[in-house]
Amino acid sequence: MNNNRLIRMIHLAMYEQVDGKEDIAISKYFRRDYIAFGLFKNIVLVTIAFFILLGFIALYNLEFLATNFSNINFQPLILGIVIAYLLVVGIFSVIVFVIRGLRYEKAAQRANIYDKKLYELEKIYILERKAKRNGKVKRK
Amino acid sequence: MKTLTELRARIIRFYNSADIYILPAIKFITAFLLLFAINNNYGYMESLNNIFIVVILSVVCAFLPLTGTVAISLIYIVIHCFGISVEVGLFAACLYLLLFILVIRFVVKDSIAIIIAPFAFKYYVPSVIPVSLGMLGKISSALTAVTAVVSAYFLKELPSIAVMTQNEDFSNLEILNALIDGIVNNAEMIMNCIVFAAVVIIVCLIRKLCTTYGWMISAIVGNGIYILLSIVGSFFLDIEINILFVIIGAVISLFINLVIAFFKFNAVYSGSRYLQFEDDDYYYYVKVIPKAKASFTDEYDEDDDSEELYFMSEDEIMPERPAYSRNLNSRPVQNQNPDPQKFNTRVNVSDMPTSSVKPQVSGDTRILNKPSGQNNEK
Repeated sequence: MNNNRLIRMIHLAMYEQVDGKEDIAISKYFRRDYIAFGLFKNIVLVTIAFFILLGFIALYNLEFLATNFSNINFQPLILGIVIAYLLVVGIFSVIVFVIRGLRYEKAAQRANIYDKKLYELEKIYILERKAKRNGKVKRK
Repeated sequence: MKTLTELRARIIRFYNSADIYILPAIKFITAFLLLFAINNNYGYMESLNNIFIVVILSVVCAFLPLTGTVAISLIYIVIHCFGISVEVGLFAACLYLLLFILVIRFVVKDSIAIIIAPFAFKYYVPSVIPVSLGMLGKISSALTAVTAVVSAYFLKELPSIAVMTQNEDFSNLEILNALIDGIVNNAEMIMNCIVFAAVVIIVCLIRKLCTTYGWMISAIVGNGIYILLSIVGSFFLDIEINILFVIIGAVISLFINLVIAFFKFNAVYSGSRYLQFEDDDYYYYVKVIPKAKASFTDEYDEDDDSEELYFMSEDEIMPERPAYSRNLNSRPVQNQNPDPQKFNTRVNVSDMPTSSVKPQVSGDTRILNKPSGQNNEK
């Protein structure tokens, strides 16, 4: 048994099964798909959060709203709410875009190193098989 | 100091070799203490005030990651809030959902601080939260610290809200307004949010910038900054605080932080790993136990994420057999094997159970399978 090959296999298995599971899962996506999926999730979550926040504000000012309901000009109010919503979604989308992009780059780099080392291991196997065929190494 | 360092090295070695038993035990004890404390302080739902439920949930938490314990604790708190009234329960659920969407999902790893913070405030050691987050986390942990303060002050309001719900003079709307007031119009909470965020950022920067005794300096300075900012903040915002309690709490927090620094600093708690793979000839069942590298110096860089696999030259892969001379008395010099110390692992390899029949192995070997869909898009 080639101990050098074995230790290399153990390091690769450690990365594949423990440390780099997430990296390998992330690197299976295209970069744009990974980021797009994150943005879609973000829009859904931020919309829910925005309406919860809006509900809290409405609840806090319910007395004012109830007494002055007929005097309220709804057009600028709705415009303000839409602009605030777009602003909040925009800010969080930028944050998610940056975080996901960085995460993808780091994961892809580590997965590339893993892939490279996998090819090197394959080279070792090829060399061993050649050596066995040429009778250079005796098998126990 | 040498005795303490040796003791720590023994603890780390013991943990690394037996972590499969120790880690679930630690998670069980942590979950049990948290859920028990929640029951004692915020146990408004009678049906949950049962030690068996706490034990069962703690057993479940022992096999989940730490974020699972945090999620279960938050759900536990929300269910207790339903014990006060439906409106308070719904408010608690919406508040924690809002905090999760806006903050917690970006800083999931530090979220245990959100559950511990209410008890840190209750026992007058609040500075342990931001200083620990600064020592163990990143600058983004400042967001966790702010969320922890909001959660702590919301839970602090619950006893007075419970009294209000029992009083028929207060309507549901007034109770909800009191809850929102307790968060939005609370000058002390806003001051603590700013102080916590500032302490986390300062402690994190000191730890990263100082190379010698960075951890100890950051713990001392962090607690000092907390005292200073609390006194200055209370003066400018006209808030009454007990300065003596703040100072004593910071001193106790300092001891706790130094203990955390001692065990966490320059120590690897990766634990043993169990691997399984195969090739054409053998199945491999491997237990990998990391060596304890604990030494009390400032040279270890825990932020080094580089994946280092030992790269071997072709000579080391297939060492060339030396040429034999005609002189039968001379023995050829064998090539040296690569230094196994470089790999920092002790490997126990066991082959398949003894059998004279060679196992039927398919052409695919797991270790040689290329990851499919390796996509590099420009």
